[in-house]
Amino acid sequence: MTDAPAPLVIDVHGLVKRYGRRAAVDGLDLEVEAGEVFGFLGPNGAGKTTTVRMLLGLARPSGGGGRLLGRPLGDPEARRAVGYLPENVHFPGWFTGLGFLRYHGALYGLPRHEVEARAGEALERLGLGGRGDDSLRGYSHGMLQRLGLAQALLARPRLVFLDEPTSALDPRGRRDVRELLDELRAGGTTVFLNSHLLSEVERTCDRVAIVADGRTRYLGPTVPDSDASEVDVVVDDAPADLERLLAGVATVRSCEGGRLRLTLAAPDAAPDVARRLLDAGARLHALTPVRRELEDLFLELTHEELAA
Amino acid sequence: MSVLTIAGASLREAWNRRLVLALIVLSLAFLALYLYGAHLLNTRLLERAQSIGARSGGGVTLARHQMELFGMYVVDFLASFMAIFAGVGAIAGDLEDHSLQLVLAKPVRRWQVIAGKALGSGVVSVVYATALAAALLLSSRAVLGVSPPGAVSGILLMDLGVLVLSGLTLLASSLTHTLTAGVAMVMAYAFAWTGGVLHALGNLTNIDVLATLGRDTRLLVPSNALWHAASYYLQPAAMRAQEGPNPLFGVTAPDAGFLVYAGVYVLAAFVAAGLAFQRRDL
Repeated sequence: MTDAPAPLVIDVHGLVKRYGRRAAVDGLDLEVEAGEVFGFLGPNGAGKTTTVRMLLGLARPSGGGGRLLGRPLGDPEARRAVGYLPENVHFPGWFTGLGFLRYHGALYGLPRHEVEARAGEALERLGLGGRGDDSLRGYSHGMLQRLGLAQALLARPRLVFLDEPTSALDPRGRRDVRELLDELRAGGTTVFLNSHLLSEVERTCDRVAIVADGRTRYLGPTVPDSDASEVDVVVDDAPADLERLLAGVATVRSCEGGRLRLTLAAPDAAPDVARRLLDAGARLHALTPVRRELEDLFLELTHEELAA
Repeated sequence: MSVLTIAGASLREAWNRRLVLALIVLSLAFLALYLYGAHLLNTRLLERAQSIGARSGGGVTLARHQMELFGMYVVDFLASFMAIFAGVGAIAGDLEDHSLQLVLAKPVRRWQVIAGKALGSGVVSVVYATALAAALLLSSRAVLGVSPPGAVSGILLMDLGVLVLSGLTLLASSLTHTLTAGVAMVMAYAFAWTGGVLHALGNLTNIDVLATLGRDTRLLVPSNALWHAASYYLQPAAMRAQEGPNPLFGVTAPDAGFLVYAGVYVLAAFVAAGLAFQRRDL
C-alpha cells in the first residue's frame, strides 16, 4: 500500500504575467504540497515577487492559472487561511505592536477576544512579550520583522508566504525563525519561503523551485541528488600519465597534487577507477561522488540569466 | 466589517500622525487672525460712522457681512485642500510603502478598501469643513453681530464641494502615484476655480461663449460651483443685489438639477475610484 500524495496547496500551470511586451512570468508551473517548507529561489528579476503577487490575488495573471488552497487564484476566501510577510513593508509608526496585530486580526474577521488572545501569544512567541504597548517608532528593524511574522501567523494560517523573513535578524533571530519554521512544519502549516540566503533554505526547506526568466527551471529536493558522474579522488601522489591510465573509465577534470576530480565514463565505473589506480601503485585514501550544493545548482540554472 | 476597520484605521492615523492636532492649532491661528481683523474693521467703521454722524448703519452692516463671507471663502479654500491632502496618499501612499499589499493579502475585497478609505478621508474632511465653518460663523456673530441667512444650507453645500474633491482625490490616488495625484488635484482645483471666474466674467460682460465655457468647466469639476452655491446662502439679499455677478461669490440660487448632478458626481467619483483600483496590479 502506497501513501496517498499530500494535497496541493498551490497548483499553478502556465502562469504568465506581461507588462507591455515584457513577460515577467512566462509560463510558470508550480506545485506545492500541504505541510512542506518550500523554498522559492531565483535571481533578482526572475519573476518571484510577481508570482507571489499573482498567487495572492494582488496582480492579475495575463495567462494560465491555478488554485490556491483549492480555490481559484484571486478568491479572497482562500486568503482567510493565508499569512503573508512581504519584504520591505512599512510599519506605521503610530501603531503600537498590539494595535498593529489587532488591526490585522480584525481584517481576518477574527472575533475581538480571539484577536486579543492570539496577539499576546504571537508577541510572546516572537520574543516581543512586554513590548506590545510600545509605539512601533521605538521598534528596531529586527523587532519590526518579528512583528511582521507575528502578523503573518495571527490567523493560524494553513499557508504562509514569507519574503526574506530573516534579512534583518541577527544570528539568534535567524535561529529562532528556523525553529519557528520547524514548528510550523510540525503543525502541518505549509511555508512558502522566498529567500536569497541559500544556506538558510538548505537548512529549512523540504523542496525548492528555482525560477529564471519567469519559468520554473528546477522543482525538487532542496539537496539535489549527487552527481554520480563525477568523483573526487585523494591519493598520495597522482601516477604519471594519468589520462592514459584511466582511459575508457574516466577523464581527468582537474589534478592538483594528490587531489583529482574525474568524470566517469559510466555511473558504475568508480570501482574500475579504484582498481586501475591501485594497480598503478597509488595509495588511495578517498573516492567520493561529488555532492552538488544548492548554490551550484542555482548558479548553473541561472547562469544564462545572470550573464544576460 | 472590514470597511469600518479600514475607515477606523484611517481616522486613527489622522489623529496619531498629529494631522488633527496640526489642523486644530493652525485653524485656531487662522480664526484668531480673522477675528482680530473683524474686530478692527468693526470698531474702526463704527468710529468713522459716528464721526460723520451717520444715522444708518447699513454700510457698516454690509461690510460686516462681506468680512464674514471672505472668512467663509478662506474656510472653503482650507477645507478643499484638507480634502486633497487627506486623500491623496490614501491608496497611492499605502501602495508605495507596501502596507496595502499586507491588507489585501487578507480576505479583504478591494471595494472594501476604497469604501473604508473614502469613509475615513471623507469624514475627516467634512468634519473639518463643518467645524471650521461653524466656528467662524459663531465667532463672527459674537464679534461682528451678523449671521448669514442660510448658514446650514451654506455649510452643507460647502461639505458637498469638499466631498467632490475627496472623491476625485481618491480616484487620482487609485490611478497613479501620490505626488502625481497631488499635483493633478491641485490643478483640478485651479481648473474649477478658473471655470468659476470665466463663468462670472461671461455673465458680467454678456459674452455668452465665455459664460458657457465657464459653466462647462464647472460641470467637469463642480467644487467651485458648489462654493458659489453655498455663498449664495451666506449673503443677505441686499448684499447680493448690490454686488451683482462676481467671480468669487454666487448671486443666484443654485438650481435643483445642479445639486442632484453634484450628488451623483460624488458617488460616481467614488465608484470610479473603486473600479480603477479593482483593475490595478499591486
